[in-house]
Amino acid sequence: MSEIPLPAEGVGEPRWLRWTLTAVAVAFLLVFLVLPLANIFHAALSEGWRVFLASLRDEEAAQAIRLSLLSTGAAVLLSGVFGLAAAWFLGRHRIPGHGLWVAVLDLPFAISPVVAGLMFVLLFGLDGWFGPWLDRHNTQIIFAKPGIVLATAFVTFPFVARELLPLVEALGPEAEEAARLLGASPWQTFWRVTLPALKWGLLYGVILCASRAMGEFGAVSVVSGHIRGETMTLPLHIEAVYNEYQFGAAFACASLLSLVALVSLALKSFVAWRARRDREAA
Amino acid sequence: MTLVRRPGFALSAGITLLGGTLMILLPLAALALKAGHARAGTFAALLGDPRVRTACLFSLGAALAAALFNLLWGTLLAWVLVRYPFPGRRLADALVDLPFALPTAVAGLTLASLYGPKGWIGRLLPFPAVYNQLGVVLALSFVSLPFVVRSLQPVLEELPRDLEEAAACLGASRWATLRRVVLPQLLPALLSGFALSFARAVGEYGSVVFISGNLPFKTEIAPLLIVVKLEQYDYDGAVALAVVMLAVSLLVLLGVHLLHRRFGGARHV
Amino acid sequence: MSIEIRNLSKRLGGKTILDRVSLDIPEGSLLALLGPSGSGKTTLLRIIAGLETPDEGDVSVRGEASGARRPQDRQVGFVFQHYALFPHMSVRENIAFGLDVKPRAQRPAREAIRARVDELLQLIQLDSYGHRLPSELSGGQRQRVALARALAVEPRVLLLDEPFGALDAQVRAELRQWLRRLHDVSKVTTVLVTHDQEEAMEVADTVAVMNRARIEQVGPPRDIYDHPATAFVARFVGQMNQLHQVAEGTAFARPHDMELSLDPGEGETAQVVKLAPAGAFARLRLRLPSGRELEVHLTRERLAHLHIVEGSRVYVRPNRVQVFPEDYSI
Repeated sequence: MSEIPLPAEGVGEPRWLRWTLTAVAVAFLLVFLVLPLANIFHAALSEGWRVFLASLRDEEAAQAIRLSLLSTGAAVLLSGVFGLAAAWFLGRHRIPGHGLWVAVLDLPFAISPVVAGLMFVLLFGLDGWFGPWLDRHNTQIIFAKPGIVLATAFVTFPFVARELLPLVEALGPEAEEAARLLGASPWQTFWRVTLPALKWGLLYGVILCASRAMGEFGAVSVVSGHIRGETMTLPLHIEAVYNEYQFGAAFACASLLSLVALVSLALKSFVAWRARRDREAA
Repeated sequence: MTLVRRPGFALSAGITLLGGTLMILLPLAALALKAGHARAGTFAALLGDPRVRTACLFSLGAALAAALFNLLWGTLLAWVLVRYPFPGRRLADALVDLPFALPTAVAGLTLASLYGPKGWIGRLLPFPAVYNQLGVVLALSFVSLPFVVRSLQPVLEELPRDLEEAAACLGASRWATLRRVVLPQLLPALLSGFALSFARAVGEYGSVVFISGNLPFKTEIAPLLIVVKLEQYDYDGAVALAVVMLAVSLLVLLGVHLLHRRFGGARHV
Repeated sequence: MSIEIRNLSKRLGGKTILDRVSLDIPEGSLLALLGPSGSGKTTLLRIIAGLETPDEGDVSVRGEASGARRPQDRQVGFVFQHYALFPHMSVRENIAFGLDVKPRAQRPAREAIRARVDELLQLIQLDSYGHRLPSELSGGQRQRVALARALAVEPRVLLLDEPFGALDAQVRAELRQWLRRLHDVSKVTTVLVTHDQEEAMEVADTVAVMNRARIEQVGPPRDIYDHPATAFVARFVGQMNQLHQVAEGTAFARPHDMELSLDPGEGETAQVVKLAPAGAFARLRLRLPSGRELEVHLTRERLAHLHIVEGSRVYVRPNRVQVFPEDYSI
């Protein structure tokens, strides 16, 4: 980041002010962000290692972890495929209504998760649009696993697209056109020219998507029905044990999710660094 | 760009339009239609209900407070991260994204514990910071802080340094330079970050549930009220409230889009 | 106000940017700091402005040492290569900026500021552009506004950092002339940094040629051209043919100091590889048997007299030779 040009030393704030502001900012970061994080791990181990491990091995916790992983995987898959297609399509073509579609991409971002969950209840609940049809076919979406997967997918749907669209536009069609002129088929062009150029953006979007999906609470809470052992994701499980005053267990699960969060932060940093390095080498 | 149909047009168009319609527009339509079919009296009853009014006002007020808090601290953070190189800056920069990466439930859980009567910070405070409005604002600020920082950073990084040097040579004090030259350039990004932070805070649910105590008329937020209504099978009421919240979100989203169109990032002349 | 620069040195990251540079700039003169990129000229200019601080040495304006004074307190006008106009302010507001930010005690009345801005708009011939934004102006117009803005506060010294570098050749030539005329009227001590030797020679009263953190020569443009002090100056200012080695060093000659003849006794043999009449004189490119090429400028008269074309065999010798001992590089 030392490549950012700063105004001449004669021009900026006096040195004492710079150091004071830096100290205040760092102190704020520590108190406001780091302390809560540290508290999770502290509280998780406050009842001892045995309780900690038992909370994670507990059957309901294990099921919650599995369901969280399932819905995260599905969300990443859907968001990834849609994201690649949408970013490329919208980035390379100007259909009428283009601006509108780009705005549509932003919608799940802007909607409160609870409202999102409600929308799915209205679609697939017993009194919903597809309610009677689902009932006839003995399928359940709301208060069952599919609903959780769908709600999670909705909330994270545009993450990859939003990440890739500016990249696709900045990339320009020249490289792809050159490949086509050299005889490559559309698929070859995609795999060998487009995708490699987008790989870091794609990875970044996937990390964002997965991170959000693992932690989704509001939308999932509405569609889940909170059926222990069946439709609980890890965040919901945390809420359940918290309400039963099992604080150690709640923090143990929370610390697991926090580790995932920290790993995703590290991965994001790495990806951003690699992307910057590739850009500068180009 | 004219509509050059590149190979791959059909497939990508298909996925995009189908995916967008099914996953985004369809659920929205369900909400819109259900709201449309609601009895006219529902909206009136909703707005008349004092509990609903209180929850809505509280949601808006708390989100506003959180957004202002973030405006102040987020600006400071962005400025320090971009302008003052210090050891560990890269780590600090990565940490700013923590509220985005951390699940909201986990955030709420740890904030409730940390600021609670027995927490590291809570026990030092002369006043309670959980199960009250302050706690809600704390949680909302936490989850939406990165918006302001990330909105400002690219603009700060792109700010041409010769503008400030020119102002200095013309005799302006540092404060005058910041006020007259730098701040106007940052205004669109500040507004944008503020708006995004506000929108996020208005719709926030997970973290608040843990720290607010969910006391009606005191610390109940609008999203919680939707859940309450759902549990009571008052679908019409829930939908009506959801539509109101959606309207607020869309308005803010529209505002941010317009801002970006009018000002786009930093203007370099 | 005269400027005295004494023993300025600056190092950055192990590299020497300025090496004990000293220079005197008389009051009211226009000095060009000429040199290739990396020669230190921009850093020197910025030190005068107070935007950078030297490791050693000092700058004095009219006898007053600048020391560690901040740019705000130095009353220097500075014009940047990329204009640095405030994008959110109109042309008027840009020009008035220096006056608007004066402390209340020294700030002129609003009317006075308005009048001054009007005066300057007239000077830069942008009278009706007052309410435009910088984004609505062309490059040349923006630079004129930048100049007006710098002059509005009546600086003691005017500093320009490659002010025309970002402009088209045509606009550059116009603004060059315009700057000279402006200087003749305002008489403000002016320092112009440029890497364009044509610009320096055309505009300045005095030229200081810089190379690799040092000043190699200071003097009027004529002197710099006719009597370069070093091989670097000889080659950087105007064109130079590198001739043979002699005991004292290497011999050089200007293209217009070369004599052509069809008579074998009158010089070295060479072949004309290119012949281009360029206005008042003709430019020829000759190739010697060794492979080395020479640039020769002949008057049209002389060319007509010789009847040579591309491919002709001629004999060339220098009329005036300058010898420089040092190893050179540009």
